[in-house]
Amino acid sequence: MANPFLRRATEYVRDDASFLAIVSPAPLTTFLAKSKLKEAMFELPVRIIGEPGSGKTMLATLAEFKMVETIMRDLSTENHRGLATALADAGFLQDGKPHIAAVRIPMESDYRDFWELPYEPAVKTKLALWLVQARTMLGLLRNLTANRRRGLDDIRFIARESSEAQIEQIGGLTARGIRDRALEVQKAIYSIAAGLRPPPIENLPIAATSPYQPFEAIRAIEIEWQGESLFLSPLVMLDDVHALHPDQRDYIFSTLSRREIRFGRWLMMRLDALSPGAVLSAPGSQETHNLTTGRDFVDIRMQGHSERGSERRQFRIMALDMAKRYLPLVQSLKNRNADFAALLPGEPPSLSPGRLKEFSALVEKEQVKLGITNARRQEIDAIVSEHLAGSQSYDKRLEVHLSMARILMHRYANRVQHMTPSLFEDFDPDPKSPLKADAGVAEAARFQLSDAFNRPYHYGIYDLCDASNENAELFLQFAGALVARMETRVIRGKSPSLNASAQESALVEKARTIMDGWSFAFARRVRLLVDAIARECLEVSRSPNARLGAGANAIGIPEEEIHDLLRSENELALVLKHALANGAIVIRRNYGQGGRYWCLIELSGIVCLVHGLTFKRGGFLEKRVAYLQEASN
Amino acid sequence: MRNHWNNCITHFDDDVGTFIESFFGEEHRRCLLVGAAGFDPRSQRIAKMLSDVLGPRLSGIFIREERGQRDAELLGRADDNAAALKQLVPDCEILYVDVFGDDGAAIGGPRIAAKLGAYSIDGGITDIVLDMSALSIGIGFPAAKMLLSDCENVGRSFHLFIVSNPELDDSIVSEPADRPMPVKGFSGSEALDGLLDPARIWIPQLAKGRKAALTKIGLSVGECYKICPVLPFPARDPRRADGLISEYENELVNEWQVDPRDLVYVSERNPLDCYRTLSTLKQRYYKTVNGTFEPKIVLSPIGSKVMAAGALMAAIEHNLTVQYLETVRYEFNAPDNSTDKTEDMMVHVLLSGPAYGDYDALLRTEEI
Repeated sequence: MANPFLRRATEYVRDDASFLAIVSPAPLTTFLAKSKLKEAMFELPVRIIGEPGSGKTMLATLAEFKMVETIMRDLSTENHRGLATALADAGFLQDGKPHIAAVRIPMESDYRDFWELPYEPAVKTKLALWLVQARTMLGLLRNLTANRRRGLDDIRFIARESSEAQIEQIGGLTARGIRDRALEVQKAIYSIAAGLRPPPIENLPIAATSPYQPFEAIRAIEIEWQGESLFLSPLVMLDDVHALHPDQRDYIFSTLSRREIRFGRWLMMRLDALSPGAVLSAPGSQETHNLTTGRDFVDIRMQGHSERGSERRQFRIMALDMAKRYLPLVQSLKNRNADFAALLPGEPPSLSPGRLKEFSALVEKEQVKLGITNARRQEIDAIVSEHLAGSQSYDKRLEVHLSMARILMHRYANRVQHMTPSLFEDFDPDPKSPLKADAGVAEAARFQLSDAFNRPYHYGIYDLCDASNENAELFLQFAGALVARMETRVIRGKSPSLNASAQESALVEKARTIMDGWSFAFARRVRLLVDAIARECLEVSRSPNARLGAGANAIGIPEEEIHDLLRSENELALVLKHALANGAIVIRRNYGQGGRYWCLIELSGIVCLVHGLTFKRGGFLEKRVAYLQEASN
Repeated sequence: MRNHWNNCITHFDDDVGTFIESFFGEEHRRCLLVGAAGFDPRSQRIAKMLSDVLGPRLSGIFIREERGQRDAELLGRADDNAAALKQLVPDCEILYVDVFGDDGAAIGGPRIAAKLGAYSIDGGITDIVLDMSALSIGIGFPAAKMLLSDCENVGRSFHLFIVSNPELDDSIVSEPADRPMPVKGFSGSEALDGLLDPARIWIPQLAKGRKAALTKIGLSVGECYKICPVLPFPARDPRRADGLISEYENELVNEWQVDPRDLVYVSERNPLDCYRTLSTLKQRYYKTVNGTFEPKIVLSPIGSKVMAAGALMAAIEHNLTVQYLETVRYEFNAPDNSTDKTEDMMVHVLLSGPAYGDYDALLRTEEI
């Protein structure tokens, strides 16, 4: 039986109704409706930048006119009403009617081939751009007529002021004229790029070389909507622009940035389309083509765009919403009316009595070895108990208490090791800085229990969200692995909910499969790099006094060194860029600590899962660029 | 229409040697061999057989696919092969083709097309042989299409030779690039937006260890009306198809949601079986959706070269799209000599030439 979570992308969903049943409006709200530059989004060029799987295509598919029309024609379902609200917030609806006629044009297929033609860059770009425009016009007409609510004769295009000269080039303002001209241009230009022997420039067909600029000529579209006429602003969403050659992309972007254009244009691309400097957010390395963000174009980043804590919270809401829509489609779980979060209980695991006894004995042995008096131990136990009593965490079992006490004992021993013992009293001085139990110590205690006793560490719905690094597709893959196990349990007549141990083993297995399947550029070097970082982080996290609190999952490189690296021609910058763009690492720039600024290279959720590291952020090891070079080779 | 392709002249295994001796043994034959000079151990087989018979009447173009990320061991093997080929065919040229551009995009197709387009073929050449055994799809397919069109224009014979070894193929591990795209010259009508809604059928050829590549290709193909995976059966190992079904279980069941009746079985040994099956599928499908949808068929022949040759013929004849994913890097675990070594299978297909005379015209007359 098909598991909808394991269908990697919405591209596979075959009809509009099924797509609308599972699509979550959250990306529309998160990335568009809340943007400060919302007003300019249909006038200026917009670059939407995100990792693979961050939901760009889903967003574009949902915003297409045929989808908007399908939603607006039937608002009797709660699902459609929710989507309509999100579309209205994002500006696609106005007064309860469609306001934008959007079309998605995939760019991954053959536009890159134009760059290989033996002509001048300006000619190659012009050909590619005209082909894009012809396909946009055809796509728009298909979208407007898709639901069979109107024919071509019911559609009229409105020209921009003083564009009379261009109207004839685009086939007039009737839908039929525009369609015929677009078909002609498409066929002529396509034959040039698709052939094995490109014609000499002087033999290019006239249909391919005569001017064709519908983006500049058209400002609106008039259609019939529920008995009255409705004016729509056209919008083209160019998907996967990263597939173009960088120079080609620059040419196209600067052409589309012309102020005369009244046609909305969005360019959706993956992070790796940008230079390493821009990907790693180096100050001054924004690729602006002499244009200014906000004034000449708008940038929307689907990751790393806002404060990270709130980003995590936003993603949790979006992910849960997606899971809620997908779960009823799983046949074996359909009739149980189950809540996804409830199927992944956060009930803490417990050590078996035997292991607990063994651990307790070990802690006592260490107490003796460290020379800690019973009175001091009692004080430490009291500190731990006090913290756990006030803690919001539900994992407060005895083994966590013991493990925290063990960490504090080691910290105590470290703090008093240089004090001189007295001849006449028990050696039990107060440390200069008092011992404190906090969330970091508790997290370290859980990590150490996982490391030494295989006590489950990553489980529960929030860990699932955090493992996905704010990437919707990744979340679905992890959730899919968990749902597959739930299905097995149901088939065996058991309750579908998974205990902590089952959750963790499914997540780790999936993370391992994902890492093994990495096949992007420099994947081999990226794998070497993250494995090396993970090994060092593990070693530090294992230190008995948990000197980095919750543990490490990152390294810090001095900002100035990263700055120099990004300005150099070093291949390492490309390795970092691809690691970041493909979700192997997360970068945090200008992190101030110890009087210095650091560029933090954090391991992503996948890598942390595979190596059993914490998801908590902040713990890092200080390194140099030379280390990155060495570790990635 | 190339009606003769349904009943092409083909030879298998030992008969290939016999054919080469008798056909190329004729004194007037002068042959141009186009093949690969890569690490693949099969690179030299056909060159050796032809050079033994043709001697100085054989000239060659050997293509060296440059992929940037080089493995020293594979580079050594490729150099050895290139040197051996030069010795076998002294009148030869080695063409270095960059498979990737400076932005990482696969551009091998346009590059080989430009290089072969610039190469002038001696007017005295009677036969062109394309040895597909060790050429990648991204290079081999455009080369085949260009050479076939040249041969058809001037009436030369065009032969396809393949040395195939599915077990050896399994020991070559490839790391796929990240951007699937149509093979140069094989975009078909895929990218031409029509007036009707497209109804697409994707026909991926399943191959061991290529799951990541096929998944990416599948995503790039987009919405499909049906997905019909191709499996090798009959095959030297009768369980090969079962093994592939089990390897691709998640893709078949969850991602692609393939109806078990849509699996396409084609012979691992005979490319014509693949060609005929795909041709029949195309004809029936186009007839069924005619006037209602825009029929589009996309092939992804990334496994066995023999089956890929059948897909090549179908793609050329019916103008179908071939969507593929270039390989960034190969790893080759040379089989241990002590273990059971499987024999290479050999195939020869004569795609065009005077041998067919007016076959197509006769067939048309008979139909009338």
